[in-house]
Amino acid sequence: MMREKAKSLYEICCLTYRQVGMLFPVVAGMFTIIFFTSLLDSGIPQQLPIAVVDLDQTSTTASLQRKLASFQSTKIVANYANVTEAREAMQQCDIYGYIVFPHGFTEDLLSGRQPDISYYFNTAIFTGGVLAQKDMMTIATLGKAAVGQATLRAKGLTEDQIMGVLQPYKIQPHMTGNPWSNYNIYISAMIVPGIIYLLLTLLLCYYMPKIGRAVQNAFMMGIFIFVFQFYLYVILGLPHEGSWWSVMFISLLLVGSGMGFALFIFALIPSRRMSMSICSLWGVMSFSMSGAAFPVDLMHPLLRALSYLFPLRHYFMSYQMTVLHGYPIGYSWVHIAAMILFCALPLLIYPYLKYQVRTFIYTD
Amino acid sequence: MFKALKNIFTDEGTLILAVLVPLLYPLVYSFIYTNEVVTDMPVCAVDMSNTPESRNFIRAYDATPEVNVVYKAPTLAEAKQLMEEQKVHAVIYFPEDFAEHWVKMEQSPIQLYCDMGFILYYKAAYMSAMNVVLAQKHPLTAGNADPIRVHQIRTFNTIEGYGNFLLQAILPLIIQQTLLLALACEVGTRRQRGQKEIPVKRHLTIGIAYLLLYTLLSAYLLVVVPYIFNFTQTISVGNLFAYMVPMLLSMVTFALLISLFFKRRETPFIYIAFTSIILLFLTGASWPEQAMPVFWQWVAWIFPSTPAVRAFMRLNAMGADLSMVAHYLWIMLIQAVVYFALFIWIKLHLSKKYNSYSE
Repeated sequence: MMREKAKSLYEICCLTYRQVGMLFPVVAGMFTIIFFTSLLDSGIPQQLPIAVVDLDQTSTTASLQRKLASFQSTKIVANYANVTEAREAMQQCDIYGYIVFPHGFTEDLLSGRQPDISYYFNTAIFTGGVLAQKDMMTIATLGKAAVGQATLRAKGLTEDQIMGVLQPYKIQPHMTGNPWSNYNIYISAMIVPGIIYLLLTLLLCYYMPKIGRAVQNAFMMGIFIFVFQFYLYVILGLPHEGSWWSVMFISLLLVGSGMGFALFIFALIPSRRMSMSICSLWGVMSFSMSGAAFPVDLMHPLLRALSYLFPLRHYFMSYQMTVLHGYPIGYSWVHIAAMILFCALPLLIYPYLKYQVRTFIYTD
Repeated sequence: MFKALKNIFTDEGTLILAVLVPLLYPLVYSFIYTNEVVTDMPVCAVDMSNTPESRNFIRAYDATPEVNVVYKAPTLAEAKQLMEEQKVHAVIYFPEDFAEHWVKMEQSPIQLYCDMGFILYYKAAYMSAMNVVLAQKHPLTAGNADPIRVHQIRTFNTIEGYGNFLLQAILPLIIQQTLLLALACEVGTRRQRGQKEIPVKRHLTIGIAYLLLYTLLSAYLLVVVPYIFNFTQTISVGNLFAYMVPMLLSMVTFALLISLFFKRRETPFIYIAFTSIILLFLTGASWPEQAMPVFWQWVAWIFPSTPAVRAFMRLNAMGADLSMVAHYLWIMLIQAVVYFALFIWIKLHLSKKYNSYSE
C-alpha cells in the first residue's frame, strides 16, 4: 500500500512538462520571488561577526574596545589571544574582520611614540568583507579621536572642537534611490526579473513550433514579473522614485523582448534543443552582462559592445534610471528603444519564422 | 564503460553540456570580470567655497585610483544633471561655508551624492572619499604626528578583485550544474526514445563515465582556469585530491538521483538552468551565511554545491588547511551516501515495473 502510494508520488514527480502543465510557471515564479525577498529580508546584514585581538591588555585598550561595541552591521563576537587564532577564524568565515592592538600599545601611546592599530578584513567574501571594513574604519577613527582627546582637552578645546581638529572633514553620503543601501533592492530587483526572463525564453522555445501555446505559456511566466514588482514595492513597500507606469512599462518591455529574442533564436536555429541551449546560456550570462554587479563600463570594450545584445542589460539600465532614481524616461531612450527592437524582432523576420514553423521537424 | 563515455561525445546535447560548456563558460566568466576593480570612475566636483582647502581635497580625491574627477560644475543642479545622463556616477559638493567651519575648528561637512544604481561605484566613491578624509589634517595638529597609526589590511583577496572573489564560488557551481544538466539530458533522451527504464547497472555505468570525465574537467576548472586568470590559488595538490573525491562523489550521486525525475530530453533546461543563481546565493558567497534566515541556512545543506563552494573558497581563496574544512568534506560524503541510497531505492522499488536486470 505504502509502496503503491510512493510509486504514484514518484510518477507525479517525474518532470514531463505535459504533466506539470501550467503549474510550473506559478510554482517557479512564486518560489523565486519568495526565495530572494526572504533571503534578503534584513536588507543589510545585521551583526556580522568580527573580533578583537588585544595583545596589550590594559585599561586603555579595554575602554577603546567598549567604544567599538555599538555598531549595527557588525558585532564583536570574540577576543582572541593572538593573531593566528583570529586569522584561522577568518579562514573559516567565523568572522569577517578583526582589529589588533599590539604589545606595548598603551606605553607607546603615553610616551607619544605613535602606536599602531591594524584592522584586517576578509576580501574573499565580498559583502561581508566590505561591511566589516566600513565599520572597522569608523572604529579606528573613533579610537584615534578618543586617544587624541586627552591632550587636546588639556589645551582647552571643547568636545566639538576636538573632533574638528582630529578629523577636520566629514563625508555626508547621499544615497539617492536607495537611502539605506538596501541589498534587497539591489539584488532582488535585478535577479528575480532576470530569472523569470530566463524561464520565459526557455518555455517559449520548448513549446515551439506551436506558436500559440508557446506564447501563452511564456506570457504566463512573464506575469510573475508584474507579481514581483507588486510584491516588492507595494507589499514590502521598498522605495522607488519612478512612477508605477514606468515600472509597468519596462516590465512589459522585458517580457516582450524575452519573447522576441526567443522567437528570433528559434527562427535562426530551428531545433528545440539548440534554441533552448542558447536561451539558457544567454539567460544565465545576462546576470553578469547586465552590469548590475560589475559595471559594464569596466569590462573589455568587446564585452561592452556585446552587452547591447542582452535584453536584461537594457532592462537593468532603464530600471536603475527610471525606477530606482526616477530620472525622466528620455534619459534611457537607447535602452527603451533596444527593448522595443527586441520585441519587434520576430515581426521583422516574420516570413522566415513562419517558414521555419511550417517546416519544423522534431529531432531529439 | 567505454561505450558510456563514447555516448557523451557522440550525442550533440551531452557534448555541449558536459564538455563544451564546462570548458568555455569559466573562460567567458573570467573574461567578463578581468578588470577586477573600479578604476577612474567619473566623478563631478562642485566647489562653492573655492578655497585652497577644498581644491586640495579635490586633488587628493582625484589622485585616488578609483576616482577620476572629470567635471567641475558651477552648481549642484548641473552636477546632478550630469549624473542623470550617467556621465558621472558621483558628485562631491563643497558648500560655501566649507572653510568657515574649518577656521572655527568644527568638522566641515562634505556632501557626497552617490549613484546607487551600481553598488561597486557607490563603494568606490565612498571608500576613497573616506580615505582622503582620514589622511587630511587640521593646521593645529598638522605639525604633530597622529596619536595612532591606523593600518587597513585586505586579507586573502588582496587586490579586492571582483572576479577573484566571484569565480572562486562559480567554478565548483559550474561543475555541479553542467553535471546535472548533462546527466538529466542523457537519461531523459534514453527514456524519450522508448527505453522506458534504464537498468540499474547501465544507469550506474553512465554515472561512472561522468565521474571519470568530470575528474578531468574539475582539474581544469579548479586549477587551470584560476591559473590562467591569476586568481588567488592557495590549494595544495594533496588538498585538491582530498577535496575532489567527496565533491565529485556527492555531485555525481546527486545528478544520478535528479536524473531519475526526467523523462524528456529538453525539460532539464527548464528545471535546472534557473536554479544556478539560487544555489549560488545559498552558498553564502554573495550574501554572508550568518545573515541568511535560519530556514534557508538549513535548506542550503540539501545541495552538494553548498559545502563544495564553501570548502573550495576556504581552501583555494583563503589558504585554509584541510582540517578547517573537514566538516564540509564529511557533509559531502554523507550527501553522497544519502543520494546513492535514495537513487537505488527509487530505482529498485518505485520504477521496478520497467526494470530488467539484463542489458
